[in-house]
Amino acid sequence: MMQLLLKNELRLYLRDGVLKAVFITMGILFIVSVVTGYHNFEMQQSQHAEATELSRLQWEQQGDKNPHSAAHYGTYAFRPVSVLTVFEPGIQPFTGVSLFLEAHTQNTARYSELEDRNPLARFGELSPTFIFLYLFPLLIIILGCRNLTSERENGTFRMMLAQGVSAGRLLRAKTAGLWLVTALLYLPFIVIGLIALLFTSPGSDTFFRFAVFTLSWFLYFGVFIHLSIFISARLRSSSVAFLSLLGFWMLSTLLMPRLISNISAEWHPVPNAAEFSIAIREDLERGIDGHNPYNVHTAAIRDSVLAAHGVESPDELPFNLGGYMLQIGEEYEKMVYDYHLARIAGLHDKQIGVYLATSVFSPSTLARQLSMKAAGTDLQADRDFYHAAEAYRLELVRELNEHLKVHAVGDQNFGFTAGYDFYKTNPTFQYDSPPLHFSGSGMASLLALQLIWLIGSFLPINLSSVYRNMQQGGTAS
Amino acid sequence: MLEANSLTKIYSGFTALSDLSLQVNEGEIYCLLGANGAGKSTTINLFLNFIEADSGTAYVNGLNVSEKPVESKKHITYIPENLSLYKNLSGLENLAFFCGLSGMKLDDAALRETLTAAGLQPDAADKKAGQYSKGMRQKVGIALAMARNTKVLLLDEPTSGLDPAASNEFAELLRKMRDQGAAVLMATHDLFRAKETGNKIGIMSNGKLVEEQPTSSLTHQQLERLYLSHLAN
Amino acid sequence: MIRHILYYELKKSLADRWLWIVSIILIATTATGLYEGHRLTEARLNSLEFVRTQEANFYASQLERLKQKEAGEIEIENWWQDPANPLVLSAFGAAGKHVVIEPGPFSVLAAGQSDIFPFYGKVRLTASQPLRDNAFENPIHKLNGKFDLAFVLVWLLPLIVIALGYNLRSSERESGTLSLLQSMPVPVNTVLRAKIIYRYALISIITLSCLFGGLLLFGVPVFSLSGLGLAATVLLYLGFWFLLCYLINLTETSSAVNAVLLFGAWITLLLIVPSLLNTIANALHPVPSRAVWVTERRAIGQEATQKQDELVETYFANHPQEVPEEDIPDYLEIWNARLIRADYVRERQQQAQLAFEQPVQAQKALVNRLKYLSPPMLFQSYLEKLSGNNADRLRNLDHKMMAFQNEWNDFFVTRLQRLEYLTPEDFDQIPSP
Repeated sequence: MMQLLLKNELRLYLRDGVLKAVFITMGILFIVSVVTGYHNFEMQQSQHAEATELSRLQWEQQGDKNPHSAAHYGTYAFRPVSVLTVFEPGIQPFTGVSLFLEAHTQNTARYSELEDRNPLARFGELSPTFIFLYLFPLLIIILGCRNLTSERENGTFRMMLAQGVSAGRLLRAKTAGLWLVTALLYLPFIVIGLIALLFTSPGSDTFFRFAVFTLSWFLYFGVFIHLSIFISARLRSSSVAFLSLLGFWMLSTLLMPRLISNISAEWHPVPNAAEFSIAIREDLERGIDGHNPYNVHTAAIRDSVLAAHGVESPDELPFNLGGYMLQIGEEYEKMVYDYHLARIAGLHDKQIGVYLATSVFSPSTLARQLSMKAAGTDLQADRDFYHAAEAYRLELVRELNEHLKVHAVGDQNFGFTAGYDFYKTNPTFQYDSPPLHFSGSGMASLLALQLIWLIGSFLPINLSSVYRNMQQGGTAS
Repeated sequence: MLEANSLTKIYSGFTALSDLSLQVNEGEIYCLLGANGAGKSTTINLFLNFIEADSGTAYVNGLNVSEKPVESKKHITYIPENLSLYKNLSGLENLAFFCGLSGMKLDDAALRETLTAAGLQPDAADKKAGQYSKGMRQKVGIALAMARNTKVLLLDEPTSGLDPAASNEFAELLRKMRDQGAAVLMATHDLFRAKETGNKIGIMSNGKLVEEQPTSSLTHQQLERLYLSHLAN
Repeated sequence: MIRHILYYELKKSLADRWLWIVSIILIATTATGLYEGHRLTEARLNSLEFVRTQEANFYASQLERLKQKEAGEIEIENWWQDPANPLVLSAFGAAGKHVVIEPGPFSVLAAGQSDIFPFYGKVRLTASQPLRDNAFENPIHKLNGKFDLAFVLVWLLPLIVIALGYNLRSSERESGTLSLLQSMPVPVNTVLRAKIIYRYALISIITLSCLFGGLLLFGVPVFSLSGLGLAATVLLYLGFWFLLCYLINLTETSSAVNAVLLFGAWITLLLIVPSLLNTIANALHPVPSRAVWVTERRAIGQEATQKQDELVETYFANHPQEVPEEDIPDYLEIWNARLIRADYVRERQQQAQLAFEQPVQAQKALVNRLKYLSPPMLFQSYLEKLSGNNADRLRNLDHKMMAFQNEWNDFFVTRLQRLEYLTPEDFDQIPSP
């Protein structure tokens, strides 16, 4: 019986001219987005590889200088480019591409892509995510609404009821039918995506991420499938049903994300750069300054080191006191920066918490976060990169200070320099984004919330008031 | 007052009306009878210029309706099968609105009087039209004809769905309008009402006017037999 | 006749719940957008106030110390602590002055690009740079965009127009009043036009009074040419959407079809066309990654370091030292070299910047032409420009900083090379942007 009903549903959908037109339009947009996105990805990837190589050469060939001067000279880390940005650029266009790594300071990444784009780029960029987030739900709404209201207005629903099929079974068949059609429409998009993916010979993690990405959007579509069936079955007038669904779409995709941005920025304000740097400066002044011999903390440590080795002057120490002090200073500075940056990360987490708390109004914000997590273009991924680069910075500076401490001893001390032979032995920064895990990444809670939406939107379809409404038939308006 | 000269209307191969000629004079009620799709509504729509005739002409008060659509409508009041009013406005406001559209300015008291004359309960005039029954809405239609003082009434099955009492009351009103000199063209299925109210009946079949008789020359039974015999063909 | 219809439209709509809902939505969203614009503008003004206070405190305290020094109240041990030394006042510690892009008078109107571009920067003898006040803003907020007035006007207003105008003719047919209307000696088009004019007037009045009332409340000078321009563009934009509604209403389609068509137009003009144009513009004029640019800049720096002796020699061949060789302190020699190198680097980097910006400018120029394809893009760009938070104005910070850098260097470098220390009176002469 269910099979018969489903077959009928499919036939109805596939003969729908509107469906074909909308689907073809979306398909073209999708292909354009993947092709241009892939082109951008390739360009960025090769440019970042080039820049990374150049930056390393610049480090190695910086000339003879004191290792600590080299630490001030610094080097660059460039954000990795993943093929998944073709599908979900996420926050990447808004975050800086280059991170300057130097002694004493933790910089923030600079130069977002968006700064150099045209001023209207923020209307949105065509990407598969854009199509899944905005356009696919609309297609589902149009399909669901047309199907149900036409059944009711033509009286065919009552005809079927008269054959002894229960209203509940019919509605479930309609739901299953819409799921099936959505899956069929979604399939070509997945296939095209996979083909694009295969061009880059990706690792298994990339496939896994792509699978989670496609699944998260499919779950999101499910919410709209259920709501389309429920609303158009429950409301008498087809135009009111349609407008209500569009209203929900608006609320979920456009209004709520912006509104929540306003609210969470208001509730959990982050400090501006000036406040931040002053807070850092104040804390730094309380601690050790490896450069300034007159700093009281520095003087105290120097005296205790001298006393421990039983010598009168730093020159008599078996190591370079400057290198030693600089490293202690560096570690203190790192502590200060870590503390203040963690404070900001905490505020960002609270802001994201507001998104989760208000996701009852918007399955779209949930789906977007899931999709960004899957593609590795969310805030967490950005932080991962930042922490890796920071760990590298600390290690590099430590190595430089150590070199100074060990080698700039005795008569070597004055005018000590290191050159190419040393700098080329310094570690290089290599970053591979961590593989996708469900635990501890917030992924599980996002998925759970999305499933709650999915089930929560299915339940009201089974209400008796909906059955009654369908049995009564509807008006034409 | 109303005159059709060999009107023909063809919808993509289907002849809705073929070579129809008829005339309705002042002080006359002409009832058009016929099965569904016989061409009754098409005739009325042609007089209203809702549709254009493929050949032939329709005249209202001597005006060619397709040449002077707006002018000719000044003489017509149309009451469709299911007369709808603006639900958010009261009967009085609806009447004032439609009168205004035909360029008439009447004060509320005059309009209220007209509504009462058309049979509407005085306290109903200020109720929202959304709460009106069909009979009450038809009365507002008649009131519109009275207020606008039009000499032509085009009625498309105005009594279908009315209970016999309301239907009788409506017929009363029509007779009153006729006596004041109106020319009424009414499409109807109600043979009894046609015989009782009309001066003349015309039977239509497949877009043709196949019979035209003054009602005085027929009994109820003769009319029914005549009607059925044309239907059989 | 039109007046007669308008009067009854008013009567009908006052009794219609729909109109009240729409009005409340319009008022609530306008208020929300206005508040957000106000919050963002205030935050920026606070930042500016903060850095200016810091700047003023620094120079006030140096002046105070200088006066104390001259009065013999304090002893200055080292040259780098001397409040009269040009370097101390132009390059060290908190020295330097802030070049600022102030929020414009209509800033509350649109957040524009203010969350991605810096709006102030500090100019010092070396290491001048724009300060990224928005560096710590959650990127997700930037991704989602702001619920500002521009969003309400560009995105939501058309939906309100559509909600009020999609079924003007079809609802008459569907409720059965159309046939009666058609039997009247008035063309139905006249009635339709009156209905459109009524809704146009109504929405215009509500929108403009909300908008201008709110702007006035936040002290925006609305009684100006810009205010007039804003009102005119809002009316034009509303007019465009009402015209679309009117055209759709001329067809014989049902309310549901009208709604789908108009909403489809909205999606097309606001979502699909802009994103497609954006993608095309980026494909035609791809902007290279800043990663390459960053390493290029660094190469310039490295080259300057290598050529330093040569650069210094050339410089002093053209600018003979004014102080006898033996009087030049060590630090001045170091700083001379550093400043000469910085000048060279600045000039070369500026050229590199121009080369890098070529595709940026080309993309911008292309979109500037293409935006005429979509009235919403046109309107958005107008609002951003009016708010002063458009990319062009904010990008100008670089140029302003560069110009002030020259002024700053002129003042301090000449004094430095003559070893001319500042007097308390000179403090008033220190250039300000």
